[in-house]
Parts: sequence; structure tokens; C-alpha cells
Amino acid sequence: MVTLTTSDNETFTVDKKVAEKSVLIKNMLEDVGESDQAIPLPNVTASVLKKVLEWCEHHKDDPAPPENEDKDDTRKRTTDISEWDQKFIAVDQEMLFEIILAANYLDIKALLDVGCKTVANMIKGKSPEEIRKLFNIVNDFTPEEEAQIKKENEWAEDR
Amino acid sequence: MSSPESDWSTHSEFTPVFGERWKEAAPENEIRLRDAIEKTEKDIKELYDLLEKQKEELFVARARQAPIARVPDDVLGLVFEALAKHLNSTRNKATSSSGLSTADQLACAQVCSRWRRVAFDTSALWSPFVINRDTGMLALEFAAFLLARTSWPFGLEFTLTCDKIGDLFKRSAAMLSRYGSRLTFLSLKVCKYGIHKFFAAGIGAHIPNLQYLKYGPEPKELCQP
Repeated sequence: MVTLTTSDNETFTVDKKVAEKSVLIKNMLEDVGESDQAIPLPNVTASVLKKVLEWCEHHKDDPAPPENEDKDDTRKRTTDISEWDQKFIAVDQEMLFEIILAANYLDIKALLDVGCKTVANMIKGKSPEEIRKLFNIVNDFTPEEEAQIKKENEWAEDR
Repeated sequence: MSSPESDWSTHSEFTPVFGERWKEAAPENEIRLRDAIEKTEKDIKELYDLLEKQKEELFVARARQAPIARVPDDVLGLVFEALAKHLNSTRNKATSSSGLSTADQLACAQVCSRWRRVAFDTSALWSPFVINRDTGMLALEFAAFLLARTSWPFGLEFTLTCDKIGDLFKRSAAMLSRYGSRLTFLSLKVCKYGIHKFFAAGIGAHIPNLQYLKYGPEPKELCQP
């Protein structure tokens, strides 16, 4: 078993196989060897780690992705998200991005993939203004950039 | 956002206009009421403007703390790559593609300056550029526009009929004389005559770093004998 400590000082004790879904934790465990010491995760809060561990638990028996995955192979892979992952990631925006950040920090590629695909699905079919409203982003373009953008739209097939 | 203006500035609908003479000779209490209504309308408009301003201020204040603002550029780039994968898979399913960028691709580059920079840095979102018979020149123009703003290696896919080859290849040669050293993938879906024309245009001299060259299948249905 492995003990993990979050930024808000909560501890989680999990199966080594589950914890090792994170490349960061796997490397840390390899570095420290057999030890009862808790692994500190200063960039992850308890509520987010709980979600991440839920994902790791469900996917603990998944085969590891090939190490030298060709970029073309990645491109050919399906962009669909499994039903379980869809339900798992159906959270509010705050939690969604926290999971993405945690997956990035903990180096859990497959979970990061699910998060990025989910955001990509949210963007799909939306106009820039709709995207700004959805994510609360300020339009900071200068008038010159706005003019350039208007011109760019002449290059779009489904404008 | 819907304006409440329509709800409160319609008092004239309920007060029939009897003409200027009536207005001038209106009794004291009517004049007072008209002035009061005018003032109330002005107050409401000012309040509405203030409300809009406050909402905008809230939007700007929240934007700095918004969840997506905490996502680093490299992860935002992964989101765009995921979108590109989806767009590629739907494009491949389509029977034909115009070769132009889609509104989804452009939207990523038109949200804000940060998204624009990251989108332009994400080669998978744009490359390979598809140059085909319908929109070749526009697609080339867009490719040149992007390549001038970026530094990533790129790919080109030509799907052309013989009659469109000459001008497009000349234009491509001009573009590749500038950016050809970054061309790593080239797909030529043109007939044998087209392939000959492609290299005759002098393009071969500008693409020293080409890693993948794909040609065919010959699009017989596209070429007129």
C-alpha cells in the first residue's frame, strides 16, 4: 500500500498498483524504495485526489500505452471517450480543470487525454464569443487584430 | 443579453398622441406626469447601463481566476490537439473536403490573444494543409499566412486535376521557396503528368527536409484525358 498526502494535509492510503497509474508517483516510489513514508502531493487537494484515485482504481488493469507511440498512430486513435469516463468527467468546470491540472502534474497521460478530449468537445461547434462566455475569457484583441480575424474568416469553409 | 428597455420605454403605446396643440395646452398634472415618466425612463436607462458595466467588470474580474486561466499553455495545446484529432477523423469520413480551414479550427485562434498564440503554435490543428481543386489558391493563401507566423514543420496534401495544376504549383513553388525547409510530409494525389509538373515547377529544390512522400492513388476520376 502507498500513502499520499495532499496540499490540504489529508492522507490517502491506496493500493500500489492504483497509485502507480501516476508516472510521477511511480518514479518517486522507485527512487525511495520500500518505505512507509507518505508521498507529499503539494499541488493536489483532497477533493481532486479523491476523484483522480477513483479514475486510477477503475483503470488499474488497463494496459500501459506504448512508450514510443508514433504521432500518426495517436492521430488515428479514436477521439471518443468511454461511457464510464464520460460519467466520471461529468463534473463542474472548476473540477474538470482541476482534474486536468492534477493529471498533468501526476503524469497520468490517459486521464489527461480524457480531460482534454472533454474540453475539446465543449469547444466543438462554438463561435469564439460562445467559447469566451463558456469559459469566462476576456476578448483582448486590438482593433488591428480584430480586422485580421475578420479577414481570416474568409478562409473558413463553414463560416 | 436582452435589454429591459423594451419593457419600460413603451409608455407612449399607452398614451395616445393627440398632436402638438394638445401637448402645449395639456393640463398641469399631465405635464407633471410626463416629466416624471421621462425622468424615470432616464433613471432606468442609467441603472441599466450601470448594471451592464458591473456585469462586465465581474466578467473581467472572474476571467483572471477562471478555471481555464490556470491551465498552462502546453495543456491548452493538448486540448487543441484533441480537437484536431476529432476534426481529422470527421474529415476523413467525408467524401470530399474543401481544403479550407474549418470554423472550429479558426475559433481556437480567435478567442483571445493567448488562445491565438497557442493555437498557432499547435501544428496538428492546421497541418497537413489540404490543397484541392476547388479552393487551392485560398488554402495556399491561408497556409502562407500561418507559416509566416509560426516555425513548426508542416505537411501538404495536393488533390488536383491536371487543369488546375499549373497555377497552383507555381504558387506552391513560391511559398515553398520561403518555407520549404519546414516541409516534412508531402502527399500528391495527382496523375503522373501532375507529379512531373510538380517537380518541374522547381519545388523539389526547396524541400530538403522532406521525410514522407506519398503519391497516388491516381485520381482518374478527376482528370480529363
